[in-house]
Amino acid sequence: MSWLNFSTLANAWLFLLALPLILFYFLKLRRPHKEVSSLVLWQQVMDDQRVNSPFQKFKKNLLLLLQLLLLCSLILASMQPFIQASSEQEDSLPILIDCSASMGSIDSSGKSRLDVAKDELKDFINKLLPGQRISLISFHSTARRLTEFTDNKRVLLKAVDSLETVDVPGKLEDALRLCEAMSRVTTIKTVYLLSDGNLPNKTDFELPFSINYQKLPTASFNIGITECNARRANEEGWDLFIRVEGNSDVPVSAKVEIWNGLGKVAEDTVLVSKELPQRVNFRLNVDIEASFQVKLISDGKDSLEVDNYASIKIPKIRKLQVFVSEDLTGFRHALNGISGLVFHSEKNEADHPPEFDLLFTDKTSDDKYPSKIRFNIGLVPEDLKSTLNIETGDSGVEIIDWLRNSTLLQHVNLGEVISTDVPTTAEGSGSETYEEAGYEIFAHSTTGPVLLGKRDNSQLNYYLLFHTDRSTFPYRVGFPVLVNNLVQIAMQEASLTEVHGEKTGALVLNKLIPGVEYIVSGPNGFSQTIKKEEDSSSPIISALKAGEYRIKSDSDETKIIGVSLLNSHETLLKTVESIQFSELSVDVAKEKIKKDQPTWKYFAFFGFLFLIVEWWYFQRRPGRRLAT
Amino acid sequence: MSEIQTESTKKKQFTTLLDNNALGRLERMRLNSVKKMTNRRQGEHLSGKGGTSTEFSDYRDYAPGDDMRYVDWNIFARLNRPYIKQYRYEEEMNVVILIDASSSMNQGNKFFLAKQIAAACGLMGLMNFERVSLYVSHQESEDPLFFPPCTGRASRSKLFQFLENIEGGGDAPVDYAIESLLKRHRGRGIVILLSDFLTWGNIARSFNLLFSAGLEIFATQILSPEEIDPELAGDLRLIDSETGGTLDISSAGDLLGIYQEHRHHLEVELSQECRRRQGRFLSLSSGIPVNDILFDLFHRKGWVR
Repeated sequence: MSWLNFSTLANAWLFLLALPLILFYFLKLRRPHKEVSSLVLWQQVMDDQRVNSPFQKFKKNLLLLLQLLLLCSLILASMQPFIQASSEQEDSLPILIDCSASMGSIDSSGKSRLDVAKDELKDFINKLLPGQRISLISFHSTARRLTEFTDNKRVLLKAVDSLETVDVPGKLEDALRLCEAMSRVTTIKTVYLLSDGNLPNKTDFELPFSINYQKLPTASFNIGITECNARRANEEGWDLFIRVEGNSDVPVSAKVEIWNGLGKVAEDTVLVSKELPQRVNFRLNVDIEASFQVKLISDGKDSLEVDNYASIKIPKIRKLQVFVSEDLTGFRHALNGISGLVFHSEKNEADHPPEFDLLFTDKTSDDKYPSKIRFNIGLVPEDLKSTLNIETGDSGVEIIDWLRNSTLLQHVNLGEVISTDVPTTAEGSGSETYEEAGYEIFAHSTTGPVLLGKRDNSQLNYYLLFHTDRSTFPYRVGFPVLVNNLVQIAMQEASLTEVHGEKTGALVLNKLIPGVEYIVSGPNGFSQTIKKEEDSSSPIISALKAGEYRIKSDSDETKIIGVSLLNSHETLLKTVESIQFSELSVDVAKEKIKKDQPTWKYFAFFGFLFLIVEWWYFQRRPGRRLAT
Repeated sequence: MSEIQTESTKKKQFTTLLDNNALGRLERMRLNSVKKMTNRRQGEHLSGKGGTSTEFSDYRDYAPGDDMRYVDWNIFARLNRPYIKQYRYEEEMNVVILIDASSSMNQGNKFFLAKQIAAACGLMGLMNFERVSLYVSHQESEDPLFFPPCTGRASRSKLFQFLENIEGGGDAPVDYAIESLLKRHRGRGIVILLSDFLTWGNIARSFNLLFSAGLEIFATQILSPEEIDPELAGDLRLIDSETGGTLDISSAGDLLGIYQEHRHHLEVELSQECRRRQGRFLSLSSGIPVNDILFDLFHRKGWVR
């Protein structure tokens, strides 16, 4: 902390007002005449006073002195003095405010972390100095700039009041990138980060500025649902798995209740502690589509409310709809050994479902059939035709490496597969070309990739870059294993084997009819109109609040999607004391944000005090006299 | 009707200084001298010495040569020893009254009160056959106004007339007035000083001169209420009413405490100076009614009997 500084130093010119004040004072000092019988006593009084009062001159002009002090106090107040908190004053200061779900956790006083942050922010804003501008940025999974760099306290305080938590985990990258973008037009030396510390401990970002990490005090105990999954148990039922976690050192009991539209379906009691998370299993005998809500009722304190609810939608049990092109007999043979499949081909188009779960084709003409997973055999993606070319060679090509730990190639040996189709990467291109285009190389030969994968929104495309008819692959053990893996992936994509509770954040709206306008309404008055265009991917909405989202249209029936937090990191209210960035780590600041202390009010108070003293001095009655 | 009565009552007043009732009471009062400093001329004032008055004083042993007429034969008959009967000696006493008629006495009611007290004391002196003389110091350049020594009831009207006609506004300080008085006055007795004693001069020296001249000092300091309890505030330029001199003071309110100290100190000093010379001192406010002073205060202080 340094000594007094002044924001409006130019007002020091006002000190010149002291000159006319002194001048007027002495001009005014034309003493009133008073005739007394004799000056004998008064002369003795004056002589005595001169001897006994060395500050007589001072007292003689006490009124002038008081007036000068009053003037000085007012001028100093107008000069906007402040005690500088740090050696350098930040003129432009972005403040990042964590608004993730954990900031909604309440402490013993009933205040949420965001309320505490708001109080600190308001204090900071109220002590803002002239010339100092701040920009408020709220962040959770993304970041949003609430205000430009401004010193308008009203705007800033209004922005602070508008802050509210969202039910998503906190991530810092977007906020920092926003600050980096702002730093291109405004000099930013330091960024204040106001958070409860419930952040990832690693952030992939190169800091062009320093970060003052202000960690708010953590809330008390919390218990919540961190996972909500269902796995198909048999033809008629599902197993529902609920994971309950808490951050208490001692076990705390809680009741888990399962509800559907008709009422409570099941309940169980769990004992949860920091070291002892619990997983609860319920058997749900349903063969139709049904939604279930999970409620967690803690017997002890619970600082976060949003993680006590979860929702899961169990799909109707059905068979996997598989399209296999007529010519792909090898695949059809391989699929015949797998139960629970319904085969389709180009012939019986009338029986085709609106969308296939899995499609095997070697013809581009089959692109007209929508499918969740498309396995293209011997076809080059349109966007890679300039990069990749399939040539026919005499010697063939051998696969040299593949992703053995991927779901697709699990237990698949491609080592002895030989193909006469030689996928060749054009000169000047490499594996990075495919990655840039969004493709993942699952297997590659000496000349180029042989198996690519790419997810286009909700559709998963695989490209086997040689035709099985011109390779030894159908005769290898790995072939039926690959087909089986594809079926398993399709089952998962179609949610026929396993479903997960929808998490807050980006919510993909599947099964929307193209061209139809939908109104999506959700918690906290959320409302958004969406329309899926023809041949476009499924629309995504930002579901920042946990709860039910209703998708409604005039032509389609209302769909309800339950969205829950389901985040262990948020529920456990884990805090990080240090955030590791690309090059350095930032620790929690040991001191609170030092606010420059404006002191004009003290000078104004002293001015008022001097005014009162002067008034009293001028108006006072003569002092007490000795008894005669 | 009442106005006519008041007017007629006014016309009957013997003097404007004191009402007739007061005069009547004063005629029966007497100045009480402590030292009994008298002239050798026989008068009606009892001297400390033995004498031939009718008032018995003491007995003493007979000594050869004593007048046999003063032997108390009754005692001689009982004790068989001669004792001489002694009587008080009645001598004439001078009552000198000095009125300070300087400008400072014009403040408030001071000068009029001084004239009233002078009239009262003069009357007491005349009615007791003292030699009453009056001095009024006015201008420093001139001799004091003088009322020659006289005695007896017949001189009352002359005394009152003299007092009624004098005016204040002079510039002679009281110490100068005392010296002027002593240049003219002869005879022992008492001197009644009526002044505010606000003088730059050495009042102790003047008292010494009075004491040496055989005058017992009856000093009366008369101050106005404004002098006793001034109400001043702020910055002022004080002007001396006698000399016209000025004095600038600031924060007069702060100085009042010191002023009171000095006024009190002056009072104590005057009192001590008088006491050293076996005199009397009294400080009066001109706001006090004269009757209270004459018939209450003077009695209580033993100035009169």
